[in-house]
Amino acid sequence: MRIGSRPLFGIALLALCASGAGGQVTAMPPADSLPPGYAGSASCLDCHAKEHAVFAGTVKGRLLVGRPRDKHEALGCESCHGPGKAHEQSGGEELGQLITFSPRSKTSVKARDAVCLSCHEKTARVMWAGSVHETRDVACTSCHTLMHSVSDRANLRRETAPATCGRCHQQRVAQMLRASHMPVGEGKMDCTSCHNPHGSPNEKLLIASSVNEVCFACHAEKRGPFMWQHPPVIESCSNCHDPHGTAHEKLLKVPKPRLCQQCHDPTSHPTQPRGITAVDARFIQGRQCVDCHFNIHGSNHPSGKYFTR
Amino acid sequence: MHVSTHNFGIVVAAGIVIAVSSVAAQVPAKPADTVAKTSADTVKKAADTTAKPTADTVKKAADTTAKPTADTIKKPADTTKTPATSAAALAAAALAGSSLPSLGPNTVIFGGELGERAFIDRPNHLDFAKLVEYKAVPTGPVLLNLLLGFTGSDSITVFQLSGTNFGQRDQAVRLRANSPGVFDVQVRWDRIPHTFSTNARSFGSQPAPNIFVLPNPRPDTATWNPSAPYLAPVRTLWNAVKVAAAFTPSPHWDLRTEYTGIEKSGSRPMGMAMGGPGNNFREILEPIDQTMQDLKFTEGYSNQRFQVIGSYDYSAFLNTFASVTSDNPLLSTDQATTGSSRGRTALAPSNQAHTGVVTAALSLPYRTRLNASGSYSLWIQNQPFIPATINSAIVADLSQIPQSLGGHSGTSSLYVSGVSRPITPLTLTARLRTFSFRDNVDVASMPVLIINDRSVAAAEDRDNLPFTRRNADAAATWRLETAVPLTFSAGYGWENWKRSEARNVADLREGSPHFSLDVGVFDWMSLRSSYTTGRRRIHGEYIQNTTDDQPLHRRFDQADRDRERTNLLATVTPLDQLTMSGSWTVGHDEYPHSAYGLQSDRNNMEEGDVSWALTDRFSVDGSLTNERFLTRLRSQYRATGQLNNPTYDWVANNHDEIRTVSAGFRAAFVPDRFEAGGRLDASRAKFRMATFNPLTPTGGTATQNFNATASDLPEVTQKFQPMNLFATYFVTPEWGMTVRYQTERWAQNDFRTLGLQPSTGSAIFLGNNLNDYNAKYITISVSYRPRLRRVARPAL
Repeated sequence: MRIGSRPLFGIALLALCASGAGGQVTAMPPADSLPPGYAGSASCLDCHAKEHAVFAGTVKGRLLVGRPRDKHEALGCESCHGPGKAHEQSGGEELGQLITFSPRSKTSVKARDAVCLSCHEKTARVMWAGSVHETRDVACTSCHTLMHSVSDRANLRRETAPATCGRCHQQRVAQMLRASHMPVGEGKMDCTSCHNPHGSPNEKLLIASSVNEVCFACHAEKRGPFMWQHPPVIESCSNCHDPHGTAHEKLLKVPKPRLCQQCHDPTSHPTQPRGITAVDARFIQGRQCVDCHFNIHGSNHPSGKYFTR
Repeated sequence: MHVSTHNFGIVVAAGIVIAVSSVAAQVPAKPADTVAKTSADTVKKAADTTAKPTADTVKKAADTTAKPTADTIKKPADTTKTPATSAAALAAAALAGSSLPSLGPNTVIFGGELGERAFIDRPNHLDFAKLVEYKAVPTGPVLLNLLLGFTGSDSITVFQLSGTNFGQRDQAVRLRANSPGVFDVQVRWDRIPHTFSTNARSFGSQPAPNIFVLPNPRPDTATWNPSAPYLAPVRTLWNAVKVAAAFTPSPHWDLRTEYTGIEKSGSRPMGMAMGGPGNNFREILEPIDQTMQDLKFTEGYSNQRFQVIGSYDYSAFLNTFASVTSDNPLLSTDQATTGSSRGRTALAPSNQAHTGVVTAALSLPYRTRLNASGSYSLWIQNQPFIPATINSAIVADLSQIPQSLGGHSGTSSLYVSGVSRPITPLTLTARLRTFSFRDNVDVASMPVLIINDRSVAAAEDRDNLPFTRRNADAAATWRLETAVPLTFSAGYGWENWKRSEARNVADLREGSPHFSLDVGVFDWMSLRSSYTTGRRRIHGEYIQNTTDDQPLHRRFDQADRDRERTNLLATVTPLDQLTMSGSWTVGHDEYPHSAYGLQSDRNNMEEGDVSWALTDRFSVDGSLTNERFLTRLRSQYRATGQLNNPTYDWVANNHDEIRTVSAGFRAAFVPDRFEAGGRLDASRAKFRMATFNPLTPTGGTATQNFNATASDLPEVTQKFQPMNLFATYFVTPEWGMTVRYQTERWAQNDFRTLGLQPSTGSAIFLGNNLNDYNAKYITISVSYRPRLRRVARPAL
């Protein structure tokens, strides 16, 4: 086991960062110096003490309530919900200019998202504008919630990323429960291992510039380049595999030998329909075509043209 | 039925010792599952409000806030001295005045769950493979999870060590230090098993992990099948470590460094074609001893108008084994034409990759935003070739074979997109992307090939397979803020593949109009729909690579194609706590000009699900998904002298039908005293490869006619059904006892592996099958949870 030194490296990094922890903090403005239309977050507690207590226990809550870093964050509740004076003065009867984020909110999705993006439109969210989720009016709060902690990370609305994404992408969730699946349910990876739901310059919101390069992140042995290459493998792993899960071994889309017979048409054995006979055993049983063509993803053997070596 | 409890007392004692040594959280708060919600009334009244602030107004308002004085950031002495400040009090202190509240003293949080697991119904050890495919199910004491956290006095910086399944083959450990907006450092160590088989059989010895030796004389079929011994479980184990450090030195700059190391060990099944005598093959184990190292640096700059991110990624793959060697089960001496006494197969070569990516975004007037991204990746592989053959009887001049490939391939991409909202209801988007694969190597051809260590073949050129894929898309979206809000989008996508002449089609183009319509029928109900249709056509000729290809065959990835995709999703939220949705998806690909090859690919999916938090204490969810897939393939058996015999045509209809059910509940029967939950997932699949000849095969020899005769392959069925129930009794709000009852049922009837004997004469298999089981096990545990947060439990 040669992995022992790596956690130590991580601990060293932690210590390094811890030594630099801290940063500027800004106090809550006095009530008489609030901008017009703002009531001050203290007034929110009159009615929303329960919600606030829960929020104050979250990481975001501790930041906004306890250690705001600038004047904007120092507005507390109103830093996200906007000016609440009209709401307060109506005794809660009217929302006034408040921005609300509940699933049935009347605040437009764009207005809601603008609040979040005013701080978070960077790093992974740079390509949010124009992304498929943004143009289909998926709100930040469709997937995230800040007022209480549900997930272990990323303030998701559900406990895990697959559960969150599965609210709309139900078929993907069902696929992950199939017999042939990646270890998503086992918690070893999730949707964001391959996709950036906040937008990406790549197809299917992938985190790398092609399907193959996403797969190579864990399966670098398939990267090559090889002496003998299998063209559909080079172009996309998804020509043969469905990474979300299938009923066939190795996440294959179609069972062998039919998968291979879709393309292989020359004379000899690929074009034989095959049945359950002893002669056909090595073509039909076990790992079928791959019984012999083991290096189907590419071979670096000088004589490996047919991927058997 | 037998439940082992002999270690349970020790477990409880250990748990108590750990608990006594822990320090509980000082700041009590409501449980995490106490959902905070704005009242429905308040939301409804918002409908009457037309004036809404934008993020800009909120920001601007912040800028007018009076600058804090030194007094205002001075911590009040009374709060810093309070040992246990409630969250509400803390919040009130923060909000009532202009000073910063105390966040409390140094706080150590501890949580954990320690228990004992035993099987009620344990599968036979030969039937274990699917159960432990990606997980471990050890019996005896188990440390299910652990959490140790520290927060310094008056700090929002959190240090946390957490993990699950400690000491197990599937353990996960995470170390995290996080100061929001300043830094975030995470170390994650995952062990990921992948078990392939627990009932593989084989003869022989393995003097080295990559050498498989058979006795002399070689065992015959009559010996293999009854006597081949079972092997140890065939599995790989990944040790994956990821270290990610993100640092935000200022609001404008983000720095991130990620290191990922994956060590893979173990073995997995592989086949080796011996080629002779009789085109035989033997299934052995591929030795896995591989290491991946990946180091990535990312730097980002952002301001309100402009963001740019640059990254560099170095990835290295190292395979300890360059090849694997196996004795030929049917031949014990090397012979020039009959075959070799051994076969040698190359394994994946070590390689490296360098990748750079630059992404930028610019906000312009009229709510316009431009995005651009470019990437360049270089893949290097120059591992020395293994010898062209292991057969000492081969007579051929191998001296001209190159030493290594000299591969320096890679990819590059360029992406530009723009989105603009010139008027409020209208959104215009346009995207352009080009992606290229460069297939650059130093070796243009191989002077001689020794196929399967047996037959000598003439020089073969290596096919260079570069390609370029270009996409463009333009769409307009119109949003009508009427009584029934409508969002309609229409666009047109275009794609072009340019491939090398080594492929069949050099120029392939596709146009895809697409439409979507989203309707907010009520504020509690929405419909989302989309429709895409595409026509892909070959520009130029479809070129057959070899003279013995069927001239009318078209490969599906290069064939003319008509595509349709329809999606419909309805979501109903009559209450904030209740969500119901249903979706329907139809996909249909037709290959109109493929006389042979894939003819069509259809899929249908219907799904419905419900999620209902009846009260703060009780929630249920469930879903049902039906999926059907049908691919239709037409082929033609092509034998010597019968290259285009129309009676040798055959058609295969591949049907997959999959039904997935998932249901779960969670209940706090007595809050903070007695809670329970459970989940059942069930996936049932069956697939058929129905095959027939449109005409009765005639015209060839009897053997050829027989070979051309198609028949259905047997139906394959699968049932995969994990279930998990738990009940927890909290002796105190922190201390709990949990009983988990878990079952997993697997049943598969797959003619390809069921009852497979290791030897059929010329084919030697490992003879393994994913056998059926119905495993039932129970885990009794003691847990301690901090009051600030629940300890993460294994996913149900």
